[in-house]
Amino acid sequence: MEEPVIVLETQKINAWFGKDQILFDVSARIPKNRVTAIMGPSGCGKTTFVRTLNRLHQMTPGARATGTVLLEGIDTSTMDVVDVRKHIGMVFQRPNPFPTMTVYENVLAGYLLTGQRLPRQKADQIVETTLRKVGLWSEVQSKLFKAGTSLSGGQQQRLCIARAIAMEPALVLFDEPTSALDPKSTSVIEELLSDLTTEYSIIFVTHGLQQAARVSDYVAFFMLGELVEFGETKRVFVGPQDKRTEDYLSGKYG
Amino acid sequence: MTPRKLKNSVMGFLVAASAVLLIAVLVVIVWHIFISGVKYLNWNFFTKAPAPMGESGGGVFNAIVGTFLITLVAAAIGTPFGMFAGIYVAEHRGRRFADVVRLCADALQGVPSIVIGIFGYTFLVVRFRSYSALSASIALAFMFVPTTTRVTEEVLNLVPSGLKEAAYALGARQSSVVWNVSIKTAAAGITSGLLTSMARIAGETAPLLFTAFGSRYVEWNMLRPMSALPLQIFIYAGSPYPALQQQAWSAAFVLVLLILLLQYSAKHLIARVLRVKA
Repeated sequence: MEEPVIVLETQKINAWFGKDQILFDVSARIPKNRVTAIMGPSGCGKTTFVRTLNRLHQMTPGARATGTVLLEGIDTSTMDVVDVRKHIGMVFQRPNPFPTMTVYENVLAGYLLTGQRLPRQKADQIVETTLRKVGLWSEVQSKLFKAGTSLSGGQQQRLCIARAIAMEPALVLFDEPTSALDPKSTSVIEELLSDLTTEYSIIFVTHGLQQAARVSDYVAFFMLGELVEFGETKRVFVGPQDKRTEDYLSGKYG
Repeated sequence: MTPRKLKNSVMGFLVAASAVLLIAVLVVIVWHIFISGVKYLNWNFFTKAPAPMGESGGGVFNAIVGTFLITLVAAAIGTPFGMFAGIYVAEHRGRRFADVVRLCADALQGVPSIVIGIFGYTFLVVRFRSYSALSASIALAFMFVPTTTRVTEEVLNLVPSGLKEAAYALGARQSSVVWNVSIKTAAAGITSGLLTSMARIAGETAPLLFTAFGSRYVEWNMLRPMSALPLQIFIYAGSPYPALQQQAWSAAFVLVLLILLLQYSAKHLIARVLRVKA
């Protein structure tokens, strides 16, 4: 098996909420242009892990984290948090387009909120290409100047994906992005992921085993704040090396 | 009838009766003021200053101007302070200083308006050796700020945290998130809070007694004594002349109408924006 290119590497990430330690020495290497699923039972630290990557975790009062995050080899603690978040996009559990912005403005929200002015032509072009990438262009072409929240739930979530990738990040974090969606919208988004990997690397948090198996190339299995097993999805599902992974896959907890 | 059902119907009756009582009180007040006040309303009432003593006719144009000026200036002074304090408290939840600010806002809201009036008298009127509309506006601003602070905080807290996180995750800084996401999302609620606070101070009488003092002339200069509707009502209602007492009712009617209008627009604004978003 050829060694994949690594987009992001974590070294001994520990994270706390107040006195409760959530993550223990998590070291992982996330392959470039692949979907890496983060799976594990509820409360195992999946979401906290991805939120430490773009330093959203540290914004919660009382929350802190230690360890090193290398993004394409650069230690993110030496970077401005704004740059970290520009290079690491995020899509949340619930679709959360900005209700005060139109569909068009929502796609450009990253630019608008960081005070970057775009020439009209460039802005139009970003909106169109980004919406095409998430398969939304034909659906919302005529609604570009309607409120982002006027779209359906699944469309809103794809709008949020567009908003994240419009910034051209290296990596996009998906935090259970389909848990609030119906099965049809879920499958639309799942199918979208492999298209997106041509340009972006993806970390996809899910508590669904089937979903992890369907969408991911690599999988990281978390339990009680530890990274228990990491490997190619096929390999982990067929022959887990850790007893805990095996038990989880066979439905003993979860 | 079982005891449980009996209890249910007794409670049901009490709840409904209280609701009806609330409506009844409002209807009685508004109706009485309407009946007593509306018959003396005429064009002169709205456009003329009070007639010289001993002459009939005249109006309360001076008080209408005064109420608008004093209230608007008070709101203009108080809005930035109230809003900024509200933003501070909402953005620093859980910090001790934010809790202190919130506590002080609540305490300030509880200070009786007569005390605010005496405060205005001691620190403004005595100091500058003149009653003035501006000192009234400043005194009212002290009542305007805490309500605005609390309303702003409450409305900002209603902004879903997911929206703020989404903005932060896109690389936005706190100032950008506050202005472009929180405030914009909560704009209608904040505006409606400002209108409600204005409605509240527009009807205040006690602080004006010591500060604006009142005037029989139409006054536009904020540095001079000025009349206002509540003041005019207070003075006319206590006067021995039936003509002035009648004008007090009319003025009361105008004031109540003004305040209800402000409150209605506050509610309407919220409703309209909520509909747009849904």
